[in-house]
Amino acid sequence: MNTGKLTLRQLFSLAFAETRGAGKRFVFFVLCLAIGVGAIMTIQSVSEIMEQAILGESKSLLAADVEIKSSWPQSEADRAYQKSALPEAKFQFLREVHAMARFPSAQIEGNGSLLVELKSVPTEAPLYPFYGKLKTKPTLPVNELLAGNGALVEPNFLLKTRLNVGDTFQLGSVTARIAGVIEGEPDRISLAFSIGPRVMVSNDTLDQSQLIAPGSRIRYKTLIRLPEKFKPDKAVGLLEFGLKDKGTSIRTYRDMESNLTDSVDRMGKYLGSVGVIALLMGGIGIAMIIRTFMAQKLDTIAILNCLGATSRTVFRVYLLQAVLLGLIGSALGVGIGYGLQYLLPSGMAGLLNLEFEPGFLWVPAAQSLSLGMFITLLFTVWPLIRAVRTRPLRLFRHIAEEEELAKGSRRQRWFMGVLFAAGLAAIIFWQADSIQRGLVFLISLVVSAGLLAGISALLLKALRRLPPSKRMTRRYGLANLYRPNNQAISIITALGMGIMLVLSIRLVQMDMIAMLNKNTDIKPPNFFFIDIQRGQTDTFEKVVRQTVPEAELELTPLVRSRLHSIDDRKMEHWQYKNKHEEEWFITREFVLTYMEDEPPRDNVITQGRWWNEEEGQRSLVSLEEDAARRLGAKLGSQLTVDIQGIPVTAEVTSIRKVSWRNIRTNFYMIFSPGALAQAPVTYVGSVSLDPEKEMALQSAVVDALPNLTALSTRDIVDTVESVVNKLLTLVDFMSGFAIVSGLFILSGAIASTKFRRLKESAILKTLGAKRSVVVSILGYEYAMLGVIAATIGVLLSAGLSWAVMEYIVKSDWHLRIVPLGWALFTAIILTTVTGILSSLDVLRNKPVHTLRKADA
Amino acid sequence: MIEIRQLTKSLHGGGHRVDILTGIDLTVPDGQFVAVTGPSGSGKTTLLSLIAGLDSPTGGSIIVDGEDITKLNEDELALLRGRRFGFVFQNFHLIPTLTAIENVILSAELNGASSAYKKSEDLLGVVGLGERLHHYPSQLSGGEQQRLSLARAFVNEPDIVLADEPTGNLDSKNSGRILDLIAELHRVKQATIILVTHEPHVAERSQRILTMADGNIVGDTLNTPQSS
Repeated sequence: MNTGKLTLRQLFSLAFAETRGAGKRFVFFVLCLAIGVGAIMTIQSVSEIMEQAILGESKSLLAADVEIKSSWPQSEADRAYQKSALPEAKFQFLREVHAMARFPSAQIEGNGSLLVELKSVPTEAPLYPFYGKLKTKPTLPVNELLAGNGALVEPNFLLKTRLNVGDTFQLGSVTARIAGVIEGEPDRISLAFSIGPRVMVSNDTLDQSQLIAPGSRIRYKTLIRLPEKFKPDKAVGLLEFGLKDKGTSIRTYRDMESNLTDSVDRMGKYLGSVGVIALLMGGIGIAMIIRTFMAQKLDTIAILNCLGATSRTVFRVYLLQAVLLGLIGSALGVGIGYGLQYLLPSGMAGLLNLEFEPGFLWVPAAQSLSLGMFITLLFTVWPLIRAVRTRPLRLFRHIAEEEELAKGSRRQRWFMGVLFAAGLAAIIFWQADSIQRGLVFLISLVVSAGLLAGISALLLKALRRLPPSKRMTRRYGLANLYRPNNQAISIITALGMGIMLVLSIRLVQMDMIAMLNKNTDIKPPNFFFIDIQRGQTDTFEKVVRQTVPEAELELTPLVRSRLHSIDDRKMEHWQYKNKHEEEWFITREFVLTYMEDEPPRDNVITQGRWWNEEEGQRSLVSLEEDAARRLGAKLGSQLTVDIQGIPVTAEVTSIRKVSWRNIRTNFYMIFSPGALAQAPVTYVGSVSLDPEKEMALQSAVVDALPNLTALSTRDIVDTVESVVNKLLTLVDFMSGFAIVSGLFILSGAIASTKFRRLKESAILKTLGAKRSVVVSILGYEYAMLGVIAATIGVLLSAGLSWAVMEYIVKSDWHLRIVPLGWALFTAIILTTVTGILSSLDVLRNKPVHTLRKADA
Repeated sequence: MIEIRQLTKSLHGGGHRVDILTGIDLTVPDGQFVAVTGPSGSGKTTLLSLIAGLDSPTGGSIIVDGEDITKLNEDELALLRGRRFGFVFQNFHLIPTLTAIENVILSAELNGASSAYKKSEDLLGVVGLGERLHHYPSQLSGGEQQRLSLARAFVNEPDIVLADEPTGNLDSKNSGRILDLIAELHRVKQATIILVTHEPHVAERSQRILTMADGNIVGDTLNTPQSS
């Protein structure tokens, strides 16, 4: 000790000795850190596991090496080409279509009907699928199961129709027999987005059903299995070059894999930022704990100094202690994260049709552990440096009451400030994986913290100027907030940040749900009946009128087409500025319509005007504004579309703004009757009626016209909501970390001032204060801390959620007085109650014990 | 009057029982200035804490004006302390975040005094801190802090003042000043004073000297107070 240096063993033994009596505080330290590290570990592990599952099953996600998808059958010429271009490859031809299954029902007069996702597969070799496994019960080859109009159905189908294996049901004009149940289908990626249960039949059965008529919404898929060493990209190159039909979508299992991993990555980034918030809040918690702990160690440090220990030696002792605690906290966090990955995927069941195998992953574990240690150092080094700067003089100056750490020189403060900011930025940029996103995140944090500190300082100043209360407890309680060495501003900043972050996440969620529900602002029709053929409109109208005479019915003609050219600029030679973002629009299939009298209800003409009856006989078109922008179309432009090989040209006479979020039939292009009256059309029937009569109408229409498909608005909304809810489960899960971290900070913040309070309360009791008086003084102080922190936090959360909705989600923001009020109330009560509860031992203890402890 | 009968206090720790007080019997009449002396660990401070109701005895009774305070609960004890007792500690135990006058006013207000400011200001003047009303304890010297704690102890005009080594942390000059003040306040206010000290010259200022050893009173002598 004479040299001021200690051996490693001595350092360890002193570090351990110095933990005595600080057990509870160190438990806080460990938990604060563990929660943050746990959040990061969970997210990183789950993302990694999902990506591994995707990589492991990528071929089965497509059930092939390459897939060609289109809305029309491949021509004979194209089939011949692909066979010659890929001579050793194997091909399968599949179709997918929404259709109505009809079945005997006890609940409805006549037949019941159910929207199903029908898929037809070949029954001759090579059998579906090329990769992955079609899991069925009974386990028989698919050709045997589908023979003789056999059908495989998902369990949900049996549940909804109350049919059993062996029973029959109608698919168009075919009577299908339930041959088995589908337990797993490799290329059905997401069950969450499906509107109806899967029914799988053979290609022959689908042909016989007569469900497919011209204009039907059907998806044709060609699955290709390549020879072992044939590169999928090479196959795509050959197909893109030689296939005449340029409107198809060709993708490989690698595209599928990267799309999915990109989505998982994006989700991981978003949830990761919540994890970083939890970790930073944990950091604030440990900084407060260390600061209080060190404040109480000032005498010990002074004594050690007197005994010859250098500042550096003392710093090493406490740094070692912090590092050991950091290590325990981080390791515990890794353990928590490991445990939670078993829970998280179950909350997302159905979102992705993948089998996850949770396990201990070293990379996320090492990263989370390092992050935990880095946060420990980042948040503890400065309080430690300040503490070890204590001069032994304090022992001789009767300033043992002073608990404030040394401020440090201006140079040191600047240096540490810059170092801290750089460390914080490094963590945020690493986790955000983007300088821009990281910068936004960092600036938001700094601005919020600055606002909280600034506003709370102003409010405290204002509070001080108010005339003192006549009630003694209130006066003393409130005055504690601006006494020397009080921690009010840092506690308010930490608390306010917690409240702001947790509440902002909640408010954005609420606005996003509102955005989805906004669809109901304009009352959408209950049903869309699709694939009504030209010759079926009269029957359809008749059935609707007979079954529900008061129903509102609207028939809209639909024409399928592809873009051909705009002002002589042909789509096949389109000059892309950003091919990745523009190509899908240029090559996609467009569903057009024609209208006579006026534009649809919630469309607003922004340029030009709608045609009158006479003008409508000419070939004119109204473009949606985004479509006009993408095509570079102006009023007067000549737009040509390709309708089943026939080019139809029309002049652009108006540009419309469309509210895409409503559930109605919306169109990029609306033509005049003169342009499309002779084109091959199908109709979509939108029907609004009393919800109680929905089933009767569906049943009557499907009985009369079996090829029609009834899409229920409620089903669509339910599907979207179920997906959103599953995503919200994830967000809630992560917000939970932020909330728990916030509570820990609150407890840590209160614990950081508890020592002073313990002694003050003991003195008050000695001077004659009853317990109720002590509680009152504490209550006023904590309640006011809560009021200031919660008010600023709530206001900032409103601001932050507004910014997110306005600039990121780009949707409406709502001022939510009730939730904000509740948050304010809860935060104040929570702060006050936590403050008082954490001081319970002050009230219980005999004052002499506390005073002796203070003297010691 | 304070009557103490068979007062015992034991502590348990490390599997052992340590007897701090071993059956004290003592009567202190009203208005008497008593000094309690003895070596370290003889039980002086423990006796004082028990009389103040700051700690609970293991056995025996402490009767203050006919009321056994060992039977009172925490709040009743707090009320009793506020109304009748004043305290002076070796380590002062001032509230560091309150100014000098606020420390005194707080004590008065806790006991329902309405015009506490004037009284506190006067009392701080008496102890020589009239110019330092708005200084925080950390801005006062040790002697000044102890004078402040004296002012706080007397602001409610207590019947009994309990002082635990009030000069223990002070130099001789400050120590003498504090003892003069205690003696003067005793004379003017006629309060009972029990002062714990291990310094013989401090004990000499009292009317009665109790000597403690091994948890009991081993000497009880009347004394003619010496002035400083």
